[in-house]
Amino acid sequence: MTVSEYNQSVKDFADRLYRFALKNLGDQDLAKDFVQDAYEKLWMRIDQVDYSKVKSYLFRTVVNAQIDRARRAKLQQNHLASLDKNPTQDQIPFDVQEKIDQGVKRLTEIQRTVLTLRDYEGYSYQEIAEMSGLSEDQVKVYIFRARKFLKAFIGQMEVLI
Amino acid sequence: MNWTKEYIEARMLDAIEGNLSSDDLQKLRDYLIEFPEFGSLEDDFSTLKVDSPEDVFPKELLLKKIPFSPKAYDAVEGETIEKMVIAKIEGLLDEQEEKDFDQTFKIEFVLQKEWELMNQTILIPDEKVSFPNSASLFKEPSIIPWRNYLTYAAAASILFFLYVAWPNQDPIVQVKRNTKIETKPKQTKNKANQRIETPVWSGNTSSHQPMINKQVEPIKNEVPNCIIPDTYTETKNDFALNLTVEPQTGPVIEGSSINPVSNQSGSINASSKEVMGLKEFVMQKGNEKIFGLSNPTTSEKYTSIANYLAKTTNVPIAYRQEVSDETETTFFKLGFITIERKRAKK
Repeated sequence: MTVSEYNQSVKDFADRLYRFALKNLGDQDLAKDFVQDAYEKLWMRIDQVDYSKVKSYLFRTVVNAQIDRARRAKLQQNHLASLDKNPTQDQIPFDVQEKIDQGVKRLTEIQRTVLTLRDYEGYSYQEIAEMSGLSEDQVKVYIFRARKFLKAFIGQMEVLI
Repeated sequence: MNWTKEYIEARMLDAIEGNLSSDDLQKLRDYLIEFPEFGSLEDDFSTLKVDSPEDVFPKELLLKKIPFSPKAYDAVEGETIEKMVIAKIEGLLDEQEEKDFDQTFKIEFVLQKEWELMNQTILIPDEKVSFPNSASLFKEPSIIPWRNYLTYAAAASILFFLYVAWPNQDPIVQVKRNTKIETKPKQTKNKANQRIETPVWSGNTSSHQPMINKQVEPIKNEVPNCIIPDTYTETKNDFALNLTVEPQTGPVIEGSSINPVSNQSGSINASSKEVMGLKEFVMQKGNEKIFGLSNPTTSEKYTSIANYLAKTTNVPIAYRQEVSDETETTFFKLGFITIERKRAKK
């Protein structure tokens, strides 16, 4: 990959990568760091990464970083604890997008990751599996469960409203 | 025949459908002319026709569809309706399942509601969100400074050569100044055999003046920090032009002159085919012209050359000598490369 192709990838994917990271992490600074790290790694391997696969490389890097972070911080435990909370205790969002955002935050790390890869970037199950190190069936199940949870969450909110 | 209202209407219908004989039809026409209140056979009855045979009743609406479990989610636990909707969103239904879904969707209110809810779970990226500092990610194409590399390489080569092959400081081969006075340079046909002396014009600077070789007295280095002058000016009076070199044998004697103007980096004279090395060139320039000292020490020479190279090439070159009781250590520094040479003191 040439320097101009690298710069083109910044133009093409930096925002999308940032949105993806922001949605998953919920923290602007952290998302920014993840994106910068991904591009730094890409720059260091500029000779090894083919331009046609640069998007996949970048997202895979961010996904791996998210998974590593989740493992380190044991966010999954925190998440499980948060799941026990009664949603009615939170302020009830009236906007659909807010409702979805709240629901997405309650997904597990991996569910959130595969769902955002699917919906934001339109990746196939196979591509998501390659990026996340899961099998296609696992990806399929995670997405199914994520949607099921979100639907239930939104439905619950509607009833409450 | 009793022409009652019912009878007349029945006959009119027969007429429309073509079931009356011509006699009966004529009788009916005559009667309707006489009693027009019963209507006319010319009235348009086509609109009275019921559905044409091509019209088909949408029987599917009446059929009941049982929600099915998509094959894609066979192994997944969940409600059938949920599986159907998610599989539809994910594009996992096969052709038949798609048809069944569409059919079920038309009549199944629960499926419609589920579909509506499930579609809200599709995440839509907010296009307004953008990476705040994308300018920091761009990289400038790195230009390989070949010119710098070449400069470094050239300077290193010169330094190394001088360091290794500097003329011996032994008194035997120390500077010998030619004090012989010649009225003019020898010019023979065989220029290759011509001896070249260090030429110094005495007084008159016009060309073809007799040259006087004189003993060069040691002079004080007037150049600060022993730096070679930036521009080494050579007038054509300084040297005897068109002189050639007699191949030197034996130890090289510093001060023996050649014509450096002819080619400072190559042969002295094309006809002689003799290549002048850097060492000879430096020697022939004369120490006092190069270093500002007639008899500089090795350290002064190296320092002077290093300073000169550093100044002219903008390359960080330095020479330093440290003398202790037992050892003599010299350092050549070229950028980040330092060559250290330690010798036992004589």
